Amino acid sequence: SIFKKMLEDKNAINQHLQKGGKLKDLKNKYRFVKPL
Amino acid sequence: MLNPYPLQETDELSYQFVTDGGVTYHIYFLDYSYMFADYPMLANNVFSFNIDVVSGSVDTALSDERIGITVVEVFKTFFKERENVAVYVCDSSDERQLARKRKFDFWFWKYNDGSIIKEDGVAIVEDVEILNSLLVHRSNPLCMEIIFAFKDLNARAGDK
Repeated sequence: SIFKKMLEDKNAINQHLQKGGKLKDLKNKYRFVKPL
Repeated sequence: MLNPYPLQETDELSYQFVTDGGVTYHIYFLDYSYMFADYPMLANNVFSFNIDVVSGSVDTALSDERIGITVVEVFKTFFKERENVAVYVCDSSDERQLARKRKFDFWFWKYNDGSIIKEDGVAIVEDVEILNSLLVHRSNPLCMEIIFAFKDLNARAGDK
Protein backbone atom coordinates (compact mmCIF):
# COMPACT_ATOMS: atom_id res chain seq x y z
CA SER A 1 0.00 0.00 0.00
CA ILE A 2 1.49 3.22 -1.21
CA PHE A 3 -1.09 5.14 0.77
CA LYS A 4 -0.07 3.43 3.99
CA LYS A 5 3.53 4.39 3.33
CA MET A 6 2.57 7.99 2.59
CA LEU A 7 0.48 8.21 5.75
CA GLU A 8 3.18 6.70 7.96
CA ASP A 9 5.77 9.10 6.55
CA LYS A 10 3.47 12.08 6.99
CA ASN A 11 2.59 11.20 10.58
CA ALA A 12 6.23 10.53 11.50
CA ILE A 13 7.38 13.84 10.03
CA ASN A 14 4.53 15.74 11.69
CA GLN A 15 5.37 14.24 15.08
CA HIS A 16 9.02 15.16 14.59
CA LEU A 17 8.03 18.78 13.88
CA GLN A 18 5.65 18.89 16.85
CA LYS A 19 8.53 17.89 19.11
CA GLY A 20 10.51 20.87 17.86
CA GLY A 21 12.54 18.93 15.31
CA LYS A 22 13.54 20.30 11.93
CA LEU A 23 12.87 18.84 8.50
CA LYS A 24 16.57 18.92 7.73
CA ASP A 25 17.07 16.28 10.46
CA LEU A 26 15.13 13.91 8.18
CA LYS A 27 16.52 14.83 4.80
CA ASN A 28 18.32 11.51 4.33
CA LYS A 29 15.30 9.48 5.43
CA TYR A 30 12.68 10.85 3.02
CA ARG A 31 12.76 12.08 -0.57
CA PHE A 32 12.08 15.78 -0.12
CA VAL A 33 11.70 17.73 -3.35
CA LYS A 34 11.03 21.36 -4.17
CA PRO A 35 8.87 21.40 -7.28
CA LEU A 36 7.87 25.05 -7.03
CA MET B 1 -10.06 40.36 -3.53
CA LEU B 2 -7.89 38.46 -1.09
CA ASN B 3 -4.31 37.58 -1.99
CA PRO B 4 -2.39 34.45 -1.08
CA TYR B 5 0.20 34.74 1.67
CA PRO B 6 3.76 35.12 0.35
CA LEU B 7 5.50 31.77 0.18
CA GLN B 8 8.99 31.74 1.66
CA GLU B 9 11.76 29.24 0.98
CA THR B 10 13.06 28.67 4.47
CA ASP B 11 15.44 25.84 3.72
CA GLU B 12 16.39 23.40 0.99
CA LEU B 13 13.46 21.10 1.78
CA SER B 14 10.33 23.14 2.33
CA TYR B 15 8.31 26.32 2.00
CA GLN B 16 6.49 28.26 4.66
CA PHE B 17 4.01 31.08 5.08
CA VAL B 18 2.88 33.05 8.11
CA THR B 19 -0.74 34.13 8.50
CA ASP B 20 -2.01 37.47 9.77
CA GLY B 21 -2.92 35.61 12.96
CA GLY B 22 0.68 34.55 13.48
CA VAL B 23 0.30 30.90 12.50
CA THR B 24 3.28 29.44 10.64
CA TYR B 25 2.61 26.71 8.09
CA HIS B 26 5.21 24.42 6.56
CA ILE B 27 4.59 23.01 3.10
CA TYR B 28 6.72 20.21 1.74
CA PHE B 29 6.59 17.64 -1.03
CA LEU B 30 7.90 14.08 -0.97
CA ASP B 31 8.79 12.17 -4.13
CA TYR B 32 7.07 8.77 -4.37
CA SER B 33 7.70 8.18 -8.06
CA TYR B 34 9.89 5.18 -7.23
CA MET B 35 6.87 3.33 -5.82
CA PHE B 36 4.82 3.45 -9.01
CA ALA B 37 6.70 0.92 -11.12
CA ASP B 38 3.42 -0.74 -12.13
CA TYR B 39 1.96 2.51 -13.42
CA PRO B 40 4.30 3.84 -16.13
CA MET B 41 2.14 6.91 -16.81
CA LEU B 42 2.62 7.92 -13.18
CA ALA B 43 6.16 6.77 -12.70
CA ASN B 44 8.18 9.97 -12.92
CA ASN B 45 6.15 12.72 -11.34
CA VAL B 46 4.27 11.60 -8.23
CA PHE B 47 4.65 13.79 -5.17
CA SER B 48 2.81 13.86 -1.88
CA PHE B 49 1.69 17.29 -0.71
CA ASN B 50 2.01 18.01 2.99
CA ILE B 51 1.05 21.01 5.09
CA ASP B 52 1.71 21.29 8.81
CA VAL B 53 1.27 23.97 11.45
CA VAL B 54 4.63 24.50 13.11
CA SER B 55 3.76 27.37 15.44
CA GLY B 56 0.85 29.54 16.51
CA SER B 57 -2.73 28.82 17.45
CA VAL B 58 -4.75 27.01 14.80
CA ASP B 59 -7.91 28.55 16.28
CA THR B 60 -6.96 31.88 14.72
CA ALA B 61 -6.73 30.20 11.31
CA LEU B 62 -10.20 28.66 11.16
CA SER B 63 -11.83 31.59 9.38
CA ASP B 64 -8.75 32.78 7.48
CA GLU B 65 -9.66 32.50 3.81
CA ARG B 66 -6.15 33.42 2.68
CA ILE B 67 -4.85 30.02 3.84
CA GLY B 68 -6.98 28.16 1.31
CA ILE B 69 -6.14 30.70 -1.38
CA THR B 70 -2.44 30.17 -0.62
CA VAL B 71 -2.71 26.38 -0.83
CA VAL B 72 -4.50 26.50 -4.17
CA GLU B 73 -1.91 29.01 -5.41
CA VAL B 74 0.83 26.55 -4.42
CA PHE B 75 -0.84 23.92 -6.59
CA LYS B 76 -1.16 26.31 -9.52
CA THR B 77 2.60 26.83 -9.33
CA PHE B 78 3.18 23.09 -8.89
CA PHE B 79 1.17 22.39 -12.05
CA LYS B 80 3.18 24.74 -14.21
CA GLU B 81 4.89 21.42 -14.85
CA ARG B 82 1.83 19.88 -16.51
CA GLU B 83 2.90 16.28 -15.96
CA ASN B 84 3.23 16.64 -12.19
CA VAL B 85 0.84 14.59 -10.08
CA ALA B 86 0.12 15.31 -6.41
CA VAL B 87 -1.38 13.05 -3.77
CA TYR B 88 -2.73 14.42 -0.52
CA VAL B 89 -3.17 11.99 2.36
CA CYS B 90 -5.07 13.20 5.41
CA ASP B 91 -3.00 13.07 8.59
CA SER B 92 -4.72 10.71 11.03
CA SER B 93 -2.33 10.83 13.97
CA ASP B 94 -4.86 12.83 16.01
CA GLU B 95 -7.95 11.20 14.44
CA ARG B 96 -8.96 14.49 12.80
CA GLN B 97 -8.51 13.22 9.25
CA LEU B 98 -12.15 13.82 8.31
CA ALA B 99 -11.94 17.47 9.37
CA ARG B 100 -8.80 17.85 7.24
CA LYS B 101 -10.52 16.29 4.26
CA ARG B 102 -13.49 18.65 4.60
CA LYS B 103 -11.18 21.66 4.74
CA PHE B 104 -9.15 20.49 1.75
CA ASP B 105 -12.37 19.81 -0.20
CA PHE B 106 -13.69 23.25 0.69
CA TRP B 107 -10.52 25.02 -0.45
CA PHE B 108 -10.71 23.39 -3.85
CA TRP B 109 -14.43 23.86 -4.21
CA LYS B 110 -14.07 27.57 -3.50
CA TYR B 111 -10.74 28.60 -5.04
CA ASN B 112 -9.93 26.17 -7.86
CA ASP B 113 -10.42 27.83 -11.23
CA GLY B 114 -11.16 24.49 -12.87
CA SER B 115 -7.63 23.85 -14.10
CA ILE B 116 -6.93 21.29 -11.38
CA ILE B 117 -8.87 18.03 -11.19
CA LYS B 118 -9.22 16.56 -7.70
CA GLU B 119 -10.18 12.91 -7.44
CA ASP B 120 -10.93 11.62 -3.94
CA GLY B 121 -10.21 8.11 -2.74
CA VAL B 122 -10.39 5.94 0.36
CA ALA B 123 -7.79 3.22 0.72
CA ILE B 124 -8.66 0.57 3.27
CA VAL B 125 -5.47 -0.91 4.67
CA GLU B 126 -5.57 -3.34 7.57
CA ASP B 127 -9.08 -2.13 8.45
CA VAL B 128 -7.92 1.50 8.53
CA GLU B 129 -9.46 4.04 6.16
CA ILE B 130 -6.85 6.31 4.59
CA LEU B 131 -8.51 9.38 3.08
CA ASN B 132 -6.62 10.62 0.05
CA SER B 133 -6.92 12.87 -2.97
CA LEU B 134 -5.25 12.88 -6.35
CA LEU B 135 -4.58 16.22 -8.00
CA VAL B 136 -3.80 16.39 -11.69
CA HIS B 137 -3.82 19.22 -14.20
CA ARG B 138 -6.67 19.17 -16.70
CA SER B 139 -4.15 19.67 -19.51
CA ASN B 140 -2.06 16.67 -18.54
CA PRO B 141 -2.11 14.51 -21.69
CA LEU B 142 -2.46 11.37 -19.55
CA CYS B 143 -5.09 12.83 -17.25
CA MET B 144 -7.70 10.08 -17.66
CA GLU B 145 -5.15 7.26 -17.47
CA ILE B 146 -3.74 8.74 -14.27
CA ILE B 147 -7.19 8.97 -12.68
CA PHE B 148 -7.87 5.36 -13.67
CA ALA B 149 -4.55 4.25 -12.15
CA PHE B 150 -5.36 6.16 -8.96
CA LYS B 151 -8.72 4.42 -8.62
CA ASP B 152 -7.05 1.08 -9.25
CA LEU B 153 -4.48 1.87 -6.60
CA ASN B 154 -7.16 2.63 -4.02
CA ALA B 155 -9.00 -0.56 -4.91
CA ARG B 156 -5.80 -2.62 -4.54
CA ALA B 157 -4.70 -1.01 -1.29
CA GLY B 158 -5.81 -3.97 0.76
CA ASP B 159 -4.17 -6.61 -1.43
CA LYS B 160 -1.60 -8.83 0.22
